Amino acid sequence: MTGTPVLEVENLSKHFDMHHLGQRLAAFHDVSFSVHPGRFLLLRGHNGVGKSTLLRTLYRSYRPKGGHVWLNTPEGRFDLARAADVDIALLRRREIGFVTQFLIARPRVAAEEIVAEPLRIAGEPHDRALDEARRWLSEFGVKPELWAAYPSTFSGGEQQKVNLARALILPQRLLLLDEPTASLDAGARAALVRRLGQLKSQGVAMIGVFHHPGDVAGLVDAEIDLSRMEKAHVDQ
Amino acid sequence: MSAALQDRLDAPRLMTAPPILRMEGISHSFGAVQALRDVSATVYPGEVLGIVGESGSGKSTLLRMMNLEDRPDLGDYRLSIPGAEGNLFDLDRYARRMLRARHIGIVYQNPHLGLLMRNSSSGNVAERLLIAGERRFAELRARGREALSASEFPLERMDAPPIELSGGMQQRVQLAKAIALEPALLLLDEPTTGLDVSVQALVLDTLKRLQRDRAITMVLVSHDLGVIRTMADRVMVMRRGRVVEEGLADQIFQDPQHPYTQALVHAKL
Repeated sequence: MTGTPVLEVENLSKHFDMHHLGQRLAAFHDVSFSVHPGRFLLLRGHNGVGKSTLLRTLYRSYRPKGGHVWLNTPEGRFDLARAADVDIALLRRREIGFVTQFLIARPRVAAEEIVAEPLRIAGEPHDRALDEARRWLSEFGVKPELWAAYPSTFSGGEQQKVNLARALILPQRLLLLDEPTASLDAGARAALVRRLGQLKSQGVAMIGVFHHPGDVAGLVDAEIDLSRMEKAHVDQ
Repeated sequence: MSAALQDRLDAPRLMTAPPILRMEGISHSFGAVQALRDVSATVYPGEVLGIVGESGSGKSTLLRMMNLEDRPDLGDYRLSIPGAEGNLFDLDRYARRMLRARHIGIVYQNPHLGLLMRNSSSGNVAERLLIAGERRFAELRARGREALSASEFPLERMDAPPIELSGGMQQRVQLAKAIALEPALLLLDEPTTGLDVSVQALVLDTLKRLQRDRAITMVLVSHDLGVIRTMADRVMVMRRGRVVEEGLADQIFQDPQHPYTQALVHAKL
């Protein structure tokens, strides 16, 4: 693969210090890989091997303990493992998306407003952002009568659709996908795969963990099996 | 200098705007009790900084320093706003009061601290505008209405005194007063503590909307981790007058580093 990768991970390591137990839990050690624009990297491995932990470490929800995570953007090359928190917050707004199976629904905020928010933050007028939000809610199969309702009362599957519509409404340079098809019905799963395909063709780089990797078989360009990497419990 | 620190200093920066607020080395004692020990804090434009910690950790004392109500024994405080030159703790009482009135808004947990309970609600908001020099009645009324409306206060009750209002409504009047002059910095000291859950959700939603639509920079003190998680971009954890950990809100909740932060997060219901 030629050209500049979107993301270059070098010797990334993560462990958790569990102070109340006086123990250190190693998650992964010396992981290195890179992802180019428009490429899809699938993370594989058995339950508990650290696939989601790796995604969260790339996003900086987890603090890396060693190594580098270089993100290349037109504004510069940033090491996500060391960048200031305020810069990470800005990069998340502009460059890095994270899709989980869990929606953090804010009380008394309508589904369509939650979905429209990334566009509004990006400067889109309210009406246009709402129109676009409704289009994506419809695409993922959320019924129109729910658009103005509060998702905190929705079923898990409906919340997940709102979550996906919000996360995928605005193309970003890098998309991290943590089991986004869990709890989705077949229609929404197909809509998700269609949208990921569109984003991929627009040059969005993706790293994903999928319970059923067959869902995205047509999109995957490369795989890493984390089961083959070192994992150990070490007393602190 | 460690290699890691050098890396951090050499790294390109995305946030090019200077911080709105910068505090360094704040220490303060009340008699034999040391309330703040070498506390530093930075807040950037448009972000919400959450401060958490148990009772007596110093978080409300720090917020009062940010509001220039008190001066610490030691420390430096800068705001990137017009007319705020040098260490603000060196200013005299009048200059600090004017800076506070014009550029800093505050909402207290106890509305009695922020409002004149027997004046009308619109009069409470107008008081803030009067300090800034507005004297025209029609303008006072119009701007008061605008601030109350932005705080989602029912305008048909704008002439009722706060003492006749519910706790949630009193907080909205405080909020309207705090934002009437479009402050550079909005300080929130346990703004939803003591409110019932549905009213708390309404107040938080109003704050979130103000933050999104007006990009108001906020510092939010709360011992309620749910409130902090909903509102804050970054979080500072305080214990016994010290900052023990700082990080992105999701990192603090998902991967706390300090033993005290771990205990705090694990204790959350």
